[in-house]
Amino acid sequence: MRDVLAARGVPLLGAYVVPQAGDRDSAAGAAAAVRAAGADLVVTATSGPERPRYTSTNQSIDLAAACQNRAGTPALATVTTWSRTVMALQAHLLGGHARGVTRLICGNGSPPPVGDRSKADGRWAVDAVGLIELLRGLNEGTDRYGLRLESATNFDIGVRIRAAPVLSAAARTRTRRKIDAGAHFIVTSPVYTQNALDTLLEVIDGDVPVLATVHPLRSLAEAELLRHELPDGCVPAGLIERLERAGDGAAEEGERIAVELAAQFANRTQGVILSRTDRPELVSRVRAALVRPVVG
Amino acid sequence: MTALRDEFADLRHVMALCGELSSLATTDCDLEQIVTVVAERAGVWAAVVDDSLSVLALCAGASGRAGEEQLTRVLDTDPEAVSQLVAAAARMRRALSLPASGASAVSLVVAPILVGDDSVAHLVTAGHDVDETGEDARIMVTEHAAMVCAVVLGRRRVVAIAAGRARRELFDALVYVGDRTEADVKGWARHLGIEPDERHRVLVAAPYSPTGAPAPAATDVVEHMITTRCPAATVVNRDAEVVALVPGHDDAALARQLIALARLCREVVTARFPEVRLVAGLGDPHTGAVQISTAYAEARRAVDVGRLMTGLSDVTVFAELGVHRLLAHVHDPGELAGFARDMLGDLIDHDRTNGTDYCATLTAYFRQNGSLRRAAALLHTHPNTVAYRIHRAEKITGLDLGAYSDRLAAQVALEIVNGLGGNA
Repeated sequence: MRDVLAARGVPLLGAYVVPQAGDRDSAAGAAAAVRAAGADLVVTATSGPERPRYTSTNQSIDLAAACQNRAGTPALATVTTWSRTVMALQAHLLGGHARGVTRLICGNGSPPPVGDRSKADGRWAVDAVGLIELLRGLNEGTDRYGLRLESATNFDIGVRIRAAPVLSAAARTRTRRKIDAGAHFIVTSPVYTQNALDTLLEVIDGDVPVLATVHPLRSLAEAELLRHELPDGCVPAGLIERLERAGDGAAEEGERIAVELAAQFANRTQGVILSRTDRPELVSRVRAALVRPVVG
Repeated sequence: MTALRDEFADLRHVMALCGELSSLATTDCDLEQIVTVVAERAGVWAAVVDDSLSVLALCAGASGRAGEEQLTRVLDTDPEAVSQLVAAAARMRRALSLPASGASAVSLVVAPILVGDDSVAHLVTAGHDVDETGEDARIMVTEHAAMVCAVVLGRRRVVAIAAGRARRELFDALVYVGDRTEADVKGWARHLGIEPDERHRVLVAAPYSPTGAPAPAATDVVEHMITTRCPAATVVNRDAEVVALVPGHDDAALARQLIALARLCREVVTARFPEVRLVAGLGDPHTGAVQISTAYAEARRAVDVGRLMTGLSDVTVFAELGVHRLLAHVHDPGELAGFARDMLGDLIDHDRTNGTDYCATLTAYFRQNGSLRRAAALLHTHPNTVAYRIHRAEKITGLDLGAYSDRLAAQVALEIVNGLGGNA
């Protein structure tokens, strides 16, 4: 990640690849399309709206390998700790490292929706901080038990952090713990207002690079749902009003908003990541809007 | 509550399986038994493979032969990814996993089998994990089973070291002892498991490091590869080289088999020890134990030539050495290079400076017994071009290739130039 950051003169642009039943071909195809449209990298997710069922962290790593090896696109793999032991995480991480997947975004993950699994009981052997510590240890040449490895890994450790206009003291402490644990960069949750990003940047205080996630809203209903699910102020009223005014053209308006937000966020961060890879045209439009030199 | 009960049952199942595997470590079991227990109790496909992904033991549990074929397909589906995984498992000395993908739709877990400092093989399990508990259980069982394999192989290694020492002494006696009777030789051969009247060939493979220091790990790999792939061979690890005496009456078929085996050994050694160069030599076929020393001397000579002449084939065959049998007696490569430069130095420099192919043209011309037409066909050019180049070569070198002595000197010099791999 640090090499990709260093290699670009303009803000980075990434796009998420959501696994379709672990299909390497479709992931590589999507990666190639967004790369051609101007994206610098892709991020493989462990789950997404099209695949609400639990998907393996290991599959995210596998899809990242497919994007890199088949499409020649730098890839970040999302790694979550939900329902994963440290033993399994280490096996997955070392397996990914062997295949060249060294850029990771750590997260806690979340259980699948109730009813989707017979044992949706939600368990965390370690959280994202524990995962960052495991990765830092591997980078320093020690395994999960603190025993020496024959050779150290070279993971770029990213971590996903929620951006909100108001962050509690506990949330601020959690963010600092993730940075102190050894995160090299931060990827935000989808941000819909500059206020939310600014609050998070204040906590980070320039210690590590930040990539802001931008989600193009597809409908007024989606915006309303998010406004209720996310903390107050995350989805501003002005945004809802624009989508409402757009009527049947809400999806197009959502894309216009995404381009505007990406251009704004690029001012204050090292780049943006789009939450969708199914619209390469949108990637091109955002690419055209990102022309400023990298901050920091 | 039901989920908790299920997980507890899963846990007890894993504990029972690990206990059974631990018990196997106390017996004189083989790798087949270990992979069978893993496959049948854990409901997965299990195999022990070496660095080149050759299967040393395999069991597909209840799915039998079809399952075994499926596991082999899994290993072949994405060999690059599996090879990367196996190499990394050996390097990191930890279990690694490869997720389910593509048509195989099974995930792999690879655990290195570590004996001392060496990763001697790998235990691979493949299967469909119904959930994360199953995935954890499989990683744990694979790691534990790999450890049991290591115990078994480690024990065998101790025995093998003692046996190897005895074998080495017997082999040295066969090869080096001068005042020996035929009865002695036959007796020593029998102790080595060699039928005294058999027809055989000797293959010698010697790893060379740039510093000239021994490369025991590479030698061990070669010994292991030859032993596992050529069970009929008598294999002796002499630290600096591995000697394989292989019986067989079909001389040509045996030569092809041993050359292919030597090439495979070179590939594996190069992949695992990039700084080490493996030189292999094959002796002529001989009959009878008294000829073993001759067969060894020929294979050893082929290795010496191959080491010196880096431009020759990757496996040197004694019968094909030609003039190099004599050239190898000149132990100073500088002496050989000096002769070549005296004869062809101006031509070599001209080729290097101007990008011409006069040396290659001369080589083709001589190897085609002076036929301009055949040399031209070999070089994909016109016979007149070959004639012109030879004329130019004569002008540059001052040699008269129509004269016997000049032609002979040029031919020998070219053999040296080509044998030294362009270092003349």
